[in-house]
Amino acid sequence: MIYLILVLSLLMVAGSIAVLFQRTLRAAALITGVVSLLAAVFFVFMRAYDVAITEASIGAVLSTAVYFFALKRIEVHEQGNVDED
Amino acid sequence: MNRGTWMKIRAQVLPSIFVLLILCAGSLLVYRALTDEGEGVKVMGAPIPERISSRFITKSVNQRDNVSVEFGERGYEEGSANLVTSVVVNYRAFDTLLEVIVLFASAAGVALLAAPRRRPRYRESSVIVRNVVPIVNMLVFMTGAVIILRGHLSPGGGFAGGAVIASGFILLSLAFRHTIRGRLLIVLESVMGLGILGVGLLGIYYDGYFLSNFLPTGRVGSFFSSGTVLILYLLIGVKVLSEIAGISLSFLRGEEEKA
Repeated sequence: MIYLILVLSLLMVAGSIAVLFQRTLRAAALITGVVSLLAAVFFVFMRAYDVAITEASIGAVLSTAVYFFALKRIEVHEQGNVDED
Repeated sequence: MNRGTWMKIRAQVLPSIFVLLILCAGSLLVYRALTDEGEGVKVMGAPIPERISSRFITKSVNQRDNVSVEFGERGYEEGSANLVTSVVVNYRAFDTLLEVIVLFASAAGVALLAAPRRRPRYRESSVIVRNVVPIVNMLVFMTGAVIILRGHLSPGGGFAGGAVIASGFILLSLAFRHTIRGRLLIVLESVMGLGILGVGLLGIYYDGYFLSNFLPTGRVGSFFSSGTVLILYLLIGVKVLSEIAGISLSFLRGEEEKA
């Protein structure tokens, strides 16, 4: 049990560091979502089921979706500026 | 003192003084809460049966007796089987109301910044998405509804279930053109917010303080068992779902407008 928690937390730390070294913002947003999902599993092992449900739905799904929508808007905006120049 | 140094002071020194003052006031409040020797239940330093958290666990903040809560029993101060719910929606309901207001403020900000200005141009999604999303969404909506409605019995509640249903709406709007009107979401959100305030005011009318649990608490573990907690979690769930779906849909529509 304690090894499982150790592996999970090491994975979360590794994912958070890997976010810093991504070339594209889209990959960084995706890895942030994966870290949130690992955090949800972590909360299940800590017997905090309420927090786990909230973390899985908001951290892993909704915030990743909002990141993606925002990145899409930024890309469209930048392309529009390039076309005008 | 010339004009430049005054601008520099106003830009850098005054905000840090302000932040320092706020930090001092906050730490003073925390210090008072930890060391206060007044009436009532202590936060820290008291033996465990005297602490406020054990009052929450035995559901006897007013009654001053330390009994263990059992399934099927009646007559507790708060009847929900889920301890987290009884703290979040009953004992700390005012905190939850302000959380919902924070979410409302962020939804209003996103709607202001990301509002579509032109009519969106539509791109059809792929066949796989259009055929799979309705089947998946049945499961997503049912799971969200169960999480909201059983928030006082099992883990979950209004916030989590509302977020699950809102992710279902995001899936729907990725697959189809017409899903839900933004105006309907705004109306739902306002009505639910007024409903939460109305339940709080009814608490003042019946019990004398805001958001008090004035309905009978019932038998621990049955569906109608927690008084206003069921109603409040239903209202909070629909409000959170309309807010989060509104945030995501305003982002998405703003994207389609220029693509």
